[in-house]
Amino acid sequence: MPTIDIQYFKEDSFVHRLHPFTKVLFEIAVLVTAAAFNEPLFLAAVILAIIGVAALARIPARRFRYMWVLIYIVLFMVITQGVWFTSFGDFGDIDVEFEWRTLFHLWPAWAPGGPRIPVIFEGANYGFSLGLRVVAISLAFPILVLTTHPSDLTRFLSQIRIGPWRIPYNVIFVFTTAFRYIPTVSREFDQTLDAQRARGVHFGGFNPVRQIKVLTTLFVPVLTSSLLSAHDLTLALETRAFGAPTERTFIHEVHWRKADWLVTALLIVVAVVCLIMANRYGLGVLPYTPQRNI
Amino acid sequence: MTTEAIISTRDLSYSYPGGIAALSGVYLDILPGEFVAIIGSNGSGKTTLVKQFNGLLKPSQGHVIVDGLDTRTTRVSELSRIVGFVFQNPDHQTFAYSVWEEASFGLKLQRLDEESIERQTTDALRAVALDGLRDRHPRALSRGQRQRLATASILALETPVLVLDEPTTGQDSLSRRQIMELTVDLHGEGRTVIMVTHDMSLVAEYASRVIVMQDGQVVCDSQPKEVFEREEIMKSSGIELPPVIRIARGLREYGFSDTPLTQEELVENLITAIRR
Repeated sequence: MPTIDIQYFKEDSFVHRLHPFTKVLFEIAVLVTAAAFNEPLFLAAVILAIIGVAALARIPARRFRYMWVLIYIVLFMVITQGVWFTSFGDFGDIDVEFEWRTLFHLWPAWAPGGPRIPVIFEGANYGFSLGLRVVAISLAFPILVLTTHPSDLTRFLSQIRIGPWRIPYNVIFVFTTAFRYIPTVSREFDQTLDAQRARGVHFGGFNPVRQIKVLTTLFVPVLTSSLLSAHDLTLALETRAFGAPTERTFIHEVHWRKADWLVTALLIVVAVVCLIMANRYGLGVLPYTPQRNI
Repeated sequence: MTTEAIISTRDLSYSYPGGIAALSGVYLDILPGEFVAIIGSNGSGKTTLVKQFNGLLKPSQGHVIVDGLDTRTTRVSELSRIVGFVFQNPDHQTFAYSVWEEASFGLKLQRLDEESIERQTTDALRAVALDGLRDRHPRALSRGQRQRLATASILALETPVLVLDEPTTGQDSLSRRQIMELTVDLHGEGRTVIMVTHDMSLVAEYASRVIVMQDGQVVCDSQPKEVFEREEIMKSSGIELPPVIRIARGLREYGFSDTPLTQEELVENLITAIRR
């Protein structure tokens, strides 16, 4: 069973039947709404909606099991933001009397010179919301890949036309091959994991220097074999006359149905409403959002 | 029986996540010093079974006891000191910059002293005839040499049990013979050898015990001769008999009823039969 399991699986669900473009639009809508809010409750609602879509697509929960690693990202965000948040300096028009709430000190009071390095509640909360954004986007992405057959994606991309311009087939090929190779690399990864564990490598543990060392035993074999198989792939392509100057045709066409219109409209409405809510009325936005002009 | 077995499974069942049953109700006792061949068609559960022996897979039901340790509660890194596992594809493990570094890596993990690392690695490389190439980059080796290097990196650990997963698949006859000579030597030193293979000639020639897997179950567990004589099992598990036995079967209508395991045995038996 691959650790990272994002390979298309056949199922006759509503989400599976949608046009690839509709699903790409769903990913974009998730990006927009996740970026619009930074209040953890609102982001939790976005995540719930994504889980709802995953349930609608009948994706078994175990396929999301590897997502537990995201906990580390959330924790990292919470801690770093909790410590450094106030150094953003400009928080827009928060009240003059606004006071940061200190949760605890990293350098406790009983230690010499303490208490120092306060962890600020607002910062931790902001960090939590940043983490939830990552979670939302990471959960949404596999839904496209899991429910869309790779060749449907290829077909959809080759149908895009702007005037006489089309996406060159080479580019489409690179894109869809990348998707196709996720399960392959994931399998390589698992086999390497097994091989290294079998000779006594212990993954996990608390010594960070040792962990980095141990990870090279995983990534070197996986990367080298990926590069080698990419080389094999180019040879296989050459022998099948890849790049021959002909018009490409497809046996199956992907169809745009009534449901796609409805879902597209719904997605656009939801995204626009969320943007207006956040930007015009400040709903779902923390009062102490750092103001930055990049 | 149980006390002296180095690996024993009790009512071992295993299902892959998603509910695909790969093993069901396996009871086995593997004794120290045995040369066990595990055979069966693709998907019969051979590799799943041997992955239970060093804890890479944990039982869904039942227990696997390795040298007194329950694999459910023991780390793979701990079990790797007892069961050495040689994988089919050496490229899944090679990461180091030199042959020496690759072969000695497992020992360094065990935090052995310099002297033992030096000695055990040298012995292992010598056993696979790579001791002249210790500073070579593993990628600069041929496929056969890389396979031997992967084997050496496990041999260096000097584990009492060795699991070989299809060691001869994709090897030319010279490497195949080298691998088998090495395996026989290791077995001669008193190690327990467990080999997953499709090569029935090897099974006939070397194994002291044959376990036939079919649909996740052990359907036959006996000495090679007896296993190859169970024609209905050989047929149902899709196993093709080794050439010497096929010749002997062809001679059956002439009153030749033996099941020879090697060419020498066949010739000898034939000559005796003719002279008689």
